[in-house]
Amino acid sequence: MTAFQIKEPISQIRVDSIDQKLLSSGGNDNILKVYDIETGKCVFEGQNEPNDELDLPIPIWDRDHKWKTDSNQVIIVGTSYGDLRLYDRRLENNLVFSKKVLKRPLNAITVSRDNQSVYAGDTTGDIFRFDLRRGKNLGSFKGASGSIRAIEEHPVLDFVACVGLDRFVRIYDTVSRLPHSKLYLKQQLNSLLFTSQGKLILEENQKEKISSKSFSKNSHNNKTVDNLDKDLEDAWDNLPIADDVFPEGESSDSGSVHFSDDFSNDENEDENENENENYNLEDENEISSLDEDENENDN
Amino acid sequence: MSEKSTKKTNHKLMKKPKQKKKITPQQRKERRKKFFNPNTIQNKMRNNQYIQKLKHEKKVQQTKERRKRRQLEKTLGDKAPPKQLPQTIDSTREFDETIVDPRDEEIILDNQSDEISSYFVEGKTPKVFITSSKKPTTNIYPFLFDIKKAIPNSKVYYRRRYHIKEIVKYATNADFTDIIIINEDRKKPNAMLLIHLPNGPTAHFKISNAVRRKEMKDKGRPVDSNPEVILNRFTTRLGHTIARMLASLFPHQPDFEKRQVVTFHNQRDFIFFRFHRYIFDSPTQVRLQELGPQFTLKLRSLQLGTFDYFHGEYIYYHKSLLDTSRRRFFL
Repeated sequence: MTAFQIKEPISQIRVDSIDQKLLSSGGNDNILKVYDIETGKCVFEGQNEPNDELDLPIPIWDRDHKWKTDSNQVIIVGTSYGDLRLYDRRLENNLVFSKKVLKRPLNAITVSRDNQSVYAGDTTGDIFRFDLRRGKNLGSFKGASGSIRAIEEHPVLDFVACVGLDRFVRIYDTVSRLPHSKLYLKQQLNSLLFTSQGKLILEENQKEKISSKSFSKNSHNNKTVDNLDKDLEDAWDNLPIADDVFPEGESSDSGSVHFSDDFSNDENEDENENENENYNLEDENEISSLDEDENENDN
Repeated sequence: MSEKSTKKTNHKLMKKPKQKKKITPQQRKERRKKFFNPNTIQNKMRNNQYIQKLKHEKKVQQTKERRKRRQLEKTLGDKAPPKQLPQTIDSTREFDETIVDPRDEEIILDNQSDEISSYFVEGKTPKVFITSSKKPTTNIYPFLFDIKKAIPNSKVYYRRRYHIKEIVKYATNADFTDIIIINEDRKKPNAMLLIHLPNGPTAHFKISNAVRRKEMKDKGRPVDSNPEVILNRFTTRLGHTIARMLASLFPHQPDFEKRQVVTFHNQRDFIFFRFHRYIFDSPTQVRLQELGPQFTLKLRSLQLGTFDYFHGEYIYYHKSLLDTSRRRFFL
């Protein structure tokens, strides 16, 4: 255990997504800084935009920031003045771009799975998707009426879930940008996390050596499990093995009958707010490749 | 072969022509009457006469039915069929999952640790700060003093050029519990900002149909006292917080001898403010005398913390996108 001090005030603290050895923080009048967790020293400090026409410094207020999922060098920041900023640690001028994308503060941010775009939530309940190269607006997700505190993208499927002060969990389809479902949870909500379901699927596959295709298809139909990790593991142990589901007469291709697009159970996943499982990048790549294989076979 | 087979199936699928039902001439007449559109009559006078005739017939039938019901009530007494309820927009409102069950323990505990709980749990006596917008006209002051008469332990201040954040700082230091700021447009009250102190929520209302005491007929003169407060029909979670904010403007124990009542009545998201005195003419007969101003409020936004227009977070922010139907309400 090491203890060290971070400059205040702080709005968010994040850990980098690859080896969890770096810690980043930012806040009101406190620009983005990165610390090494083992030594406790400040490794990196972000630069501000150049002064304006009157040579006055531009005010700083970082509301939320996230690391890119594929590297521990790039950080994306949403400011309270509606700016979207991208920092690269490798460069000498580390502020790559900064653009005013909204009139209101960017309260919550997540990087999409493909690292090409960013989902950003407003203080009045609007969610937008911005391109990461130029900050271009790629569309909005409508329906919420209170400030958004957290957004998260599903590790495998095309869904985005958000949570906020209007006491609702809302799930959107990322392709059509339409609301998929919502849940009333009585409290003002601060954060949410998806379970790393895709990771578990792969672990099971390696153990029992079941054909990956049939099992991943099945997994969508099975019920998702409640808060605790133990429950999750127990449930996965009790799951029917793929051979039981498909009798011998049928080929694996006919298993596509069992696969349905009904993801209504996804709502339960979002309640796992306290869970802290980090999602491994390697697994994700494998899953995406598996999904592609499926599509080819179906065609 | 395959073509032939498809043809055969098609032939089978073809429907037989329907046989027309035989209708008597009387039925035909009725049907014509039922589906007849009076707008097709081109002569305006005859058109008008026809419509009035229809209306008259409808009225006669309604009175007949009403008389029947009255008679049944007289003869049968308690065994008469129950009274029919009218279908209104309010009674057919859309289902809302946020409607509060008063026995819900989670919400009760949530309310006890609220920003407004200093009034309800600790029993703090309220003290209210009332001002106008910047650069007010003289027309707004009578309205402010009318509100001051309805709310005990309140003070009207000249706004000068102070920013709202400065007022919040001053009022928290002077132990005020609430701030009311009334905005005006074209010499009429336009909006109201209600800030709960020290770190409570701030609500922004639109004001419409405001009537000053001066403009009212047959009004009484209010007396300095703690009025009784009536809060009607605040059902949802958002409505509960708004109702609690409004309730926390008034002291806990009302003077029942002075018989003054303040009501906030919510109907289709409009909150009606009225100020009355009830008078006993005899032990059985009661009548109401209206005092003070009238106005209606509509919620625009509810903000977390004290007033911060740009950097503040909103619990509820009204957008035109939310008005998906006439039967959807938020309070």
